[in-house]
Amino acid sequence: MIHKVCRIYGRSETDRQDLFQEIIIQLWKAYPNFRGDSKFSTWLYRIALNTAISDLRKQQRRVKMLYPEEVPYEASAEAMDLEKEEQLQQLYKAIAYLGEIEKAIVMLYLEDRSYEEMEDILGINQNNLRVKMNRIKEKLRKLTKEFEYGVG
Amino acid sequence: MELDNLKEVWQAHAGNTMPGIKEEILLMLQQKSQSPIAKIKRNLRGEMMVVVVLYSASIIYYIISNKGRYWELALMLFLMGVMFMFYYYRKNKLLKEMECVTCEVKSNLERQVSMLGKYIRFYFVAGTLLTPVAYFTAGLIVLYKSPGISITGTQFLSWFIGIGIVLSILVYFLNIWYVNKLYGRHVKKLKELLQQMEESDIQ
Repeated sequence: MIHKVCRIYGRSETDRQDLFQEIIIQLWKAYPNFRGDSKFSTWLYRIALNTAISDLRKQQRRVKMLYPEEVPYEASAEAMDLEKEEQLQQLYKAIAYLGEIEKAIVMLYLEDRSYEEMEDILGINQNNLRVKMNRIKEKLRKLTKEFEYGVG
Repeated sequence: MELDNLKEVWQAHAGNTMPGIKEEILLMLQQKSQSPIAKIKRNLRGEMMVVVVLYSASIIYYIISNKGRYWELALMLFLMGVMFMFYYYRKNKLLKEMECVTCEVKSNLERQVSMLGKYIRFYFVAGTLLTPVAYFTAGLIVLYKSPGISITGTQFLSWFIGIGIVLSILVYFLNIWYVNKLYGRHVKKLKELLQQMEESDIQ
């Protein structure tokens, strides 16, 4: 899960490694205070997303780039067929064009988190999340169409 | 591309091309946090150390030099040093309260915007007041203690006050520029993120 957050929010391998390290440090610091008030996954997602979203210095640098330096490549591609791998690459490519909050929502959606848990993690109410999710789906549809026809 | 059809593909892929072995993670834990707040905290500690060293040296200097003739300056510096310690304590407290990584993302952003606002106001007010206070206090002490200089002369007094006022105005604008340079973009980005979260409430 942490790797996926890093892939979505990091534009380069260095970015992703820095973010991974930062999330690990934050998890390590926060763990002694974990009381089990929320689900462990909720707690984990909150730390990972708060760290990724608050890492503004890197975001400012990223804004200058229209497209990620490299689209994350799946190392264990042997296990996946080519079509699926391509779909995944396209998905990452499209997600890179979303806003920081939209990235978080779409990631949680893809991770199959319920809207209730998404609300617990993000603090956005479920109705708003549904509205946002519909907009994101539409955006991603448009983006992938643009990629297909070579507009993007 | 239908997002729902991709859930399975997404979940099947581990996303793992980065370090994950125990030794590497242990090594990471020995590193310092690079989060903006952790960096500000480190800068604050560094700044505090510089102030402690410089003020201590200046206090000792004024006590020893000229057979302690300007001991009031040493006292003033000591009092200012105490105020600085309070200043650092308050800033550090605000920084500690600024981030809650285990909170909901939205409330964490709200907390950051609010605490950063307080932090900036405190930084600005303290920074702007410090210069005129130090100028007038130190100036009056030196002038009062120096033989041959009359502070009661109208022309001299006008110059002394005039320079103080110009200095205060300059420091005020310099501080506005500096605070904006240091935190302006950060605050703007935080507000933009919050706005993104609240967008569907507005529309």
